[in-house]
This record gives sequence, structure tokens and C-alpha cells, in this order.
Amino acid sequence: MTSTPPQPLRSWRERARTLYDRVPTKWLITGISAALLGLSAVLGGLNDVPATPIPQIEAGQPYVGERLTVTADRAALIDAFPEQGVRPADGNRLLVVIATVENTSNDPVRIATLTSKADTLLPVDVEFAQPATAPSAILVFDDGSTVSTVQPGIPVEVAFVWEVPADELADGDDLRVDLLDRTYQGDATVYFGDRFSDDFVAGYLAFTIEDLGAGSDG
Amino acid sequence: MTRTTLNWRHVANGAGLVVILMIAGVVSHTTPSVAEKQGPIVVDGELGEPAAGRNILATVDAVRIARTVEASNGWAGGTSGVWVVVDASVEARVDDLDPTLGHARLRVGDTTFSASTRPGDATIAATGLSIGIAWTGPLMFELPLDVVESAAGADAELQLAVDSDTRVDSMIVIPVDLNALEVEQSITTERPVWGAR
Repeated sequence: MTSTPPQPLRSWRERARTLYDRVPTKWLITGISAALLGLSAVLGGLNDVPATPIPQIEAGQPYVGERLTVTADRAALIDAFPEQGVRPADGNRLLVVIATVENTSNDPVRIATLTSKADTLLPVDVEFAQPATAPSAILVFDDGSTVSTVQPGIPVEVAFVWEVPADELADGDDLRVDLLDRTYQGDATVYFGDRFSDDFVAGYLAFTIEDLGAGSDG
Repeated sequence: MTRTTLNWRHVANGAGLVVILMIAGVVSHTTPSVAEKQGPIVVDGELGEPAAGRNILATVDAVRIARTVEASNGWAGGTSGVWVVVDASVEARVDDLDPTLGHARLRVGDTTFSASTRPGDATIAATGLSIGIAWTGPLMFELPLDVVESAAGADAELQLAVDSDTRVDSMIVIPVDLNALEVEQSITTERPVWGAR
């Protein structure tokens, strides 16, 4: 039988070093991460992030966007624009938002880039009678012509038109309309030219709907 | 004390490196940009003269400016600016399967305006082109008056090309002096005609 040699007396520094050497590296990394996470939690890391509220834009107040400055004025219900050939299907009416759009860039800008998705104005919580959220027509107020392109430096008053079921909205109803903008994504490589995408809601407008009836007075 | 002798091999290596760097500099500075590689092939034209590109033959007869325009289809749209009315005659040359006058633009300085589609069928903007049978009619551009009267207005250029994608295809460019043109009160435009020169 061999007797265990007596442990040599060690200072606390040496003991600490031995202990440190015996701790697996994984534990060290986990421990340090946990300490950092705990610290961030103590400093408010687990608090709820306040959501940035979407700003309300007053009717008639211009919103200066990436390429377009949009001033939305009013929302109305109308039976049809027969002279422009814009007639809803039976049982439907037209929801119209009237806005002035100015192109502040140096190139013509299309305001109806997609036929499926709205990209400038979008009424919220409205059941459309049309398949897409994009306006079914965008008309120039002055002459009733269809507009797809806004020229630089030429503000144009346009009517964004959506088809809605006749009982969906009524005179005096509140309507929220989101104003959408997009950000510059840079010069495209596969496609050509400047690319603007990533639609975001820049603000919203609160309108009270006016019923213009048959709309003969425009 | 040892005397340092000039090692000619080191000198040659250094000079060789400098030469390689200079060549690399020349190469990187002369490499065509994306715009140069893919940009439109400019065909310089002149007012009143036919200009021919790969698949486009165009003659711009006149450029006028007016505050209001009365189009042949009865359209009379207002504008906060002025209308630059271009009378042109455009046809295809080699292929009429799908070409349109998709690119009709007026560039003034850094700003570009596209031919208005508001007058509907009263202009030849975006009209389908045929070989040898020209569409003759107006193009209308909506411009702010201060842009027309700006110094850059003297060196404006009218660009005509087949299809909206102008890359690596002919683009007819015609210089226009907008400053020299008188702003008329009103212009009545002719109906676009197919097959008349």
C-alpha cells in the first residue's frame, strides 16, 4: 500500500490557476455569453421595443417622398366616370381619392408600376370589388385622360379610382388611406436602370367620405 | 566596411513592377463602363433630315411650343407648364414583328421628359411601327416653362428609339434649341397618318 503523498501547500493564486485550467473551454464561452446576455437584460435588453407609429398626414398636406411629392385632398364615392369609360360592374361604385402628384426627380416616373399592387395610395380595411389593390384607373382631373407617367416638375391633380361594392362604404364614413413610398435600391445589375422597391407605409390620411352621387358635377 | 554594390536585378524588378502597375492603371481606367457597354448606339440626326438607325428611320420636321394644345381627337389637356410639340415621321427598317416607338424623350440638361400618352391616339407615342410605311404625326412633351427657358434649353436633345429598352440598339438623337422657339398661345395638331410621307 502506498500512501498518498501530502498535498503541498499552495497559495490561493495557484489554486485559482489550477481550477481555471480544469474548466472546459466550452463552459467558459457559455458562461461569458450568459454573463453578457444577463448584463444586456439588466440594462433593458428584454424590454418591448416601442413600435414607430405611422405618422398621420393631414389632408392637403404634402408628403415629400423619394421621387414623388403627394398631396392627397379628399376621398369620395361616385357612381361612374362615363365620359372616361370608367364604369363599375353592376352593384358596385367607385371609391375615388383625389391627390396632386409632383415628380421631383429628373426622369419621368410611372405611378402605376404594377397592375396587381398599389404603390402610391392604398385605402385600408376596404373590401374591393376588384381583384387587385392597385387602382383600377388613375385619371388626370383636368381632362379625364388616363395617366401612367408623371413628368418632372409638372404637378398633376389625379383621381385614384377603386371599384367597391355599393354597400361597402357610405357618405360620412371614415376612411384610412395609407400613403406608400419606396426606397432607392441602386442601379440594377440584371434589370437595367435605377431600381426603387421595398414599399413602406410613409404615413396615413384620415378622410371622411363624401358621396358625390352620379357625379355629374364632377 | 563593405561597399554596397548596385544590384541590377533588383533595379530591373522594381522597374518591371512599375511598368505592370502602369499597364494595370491604363486597363482599369479604359475599361468600358456598364453604360458604355450596354448603352444605346447614338445616331446623330438633324431637324428636317431623315436619320436611320438599325430598325428605325425617323424624320423630325418641326418643333413648336405652346401653352395649350388642341389635338386631332378633340383632346385639349391643360398643363402647369408648356407643351413641346414635335412633328415626326417614323418607320421600322428591318423587322416589324413587334417594334413600337417605345422611347420618345426630350432631354434638357439633366432632366428627361417622355412623350405624353395623355392625348391618347392623337400622338404617335408608343405606336407600332411598320417597315417602309411611316407613321407621321405629333409627339407632345409636357415641360415646365422655366426648363424650356433655362440655359440648358438651348442644347436640348430629342431621343427616338424602338422599344422602351434602349440598350445596344440605335437611338436617334436630334439637337433642338428650345430657347430659340417662340411660345405660342395654342397649337392645333394634325391627326397621325399611316403611310404618308
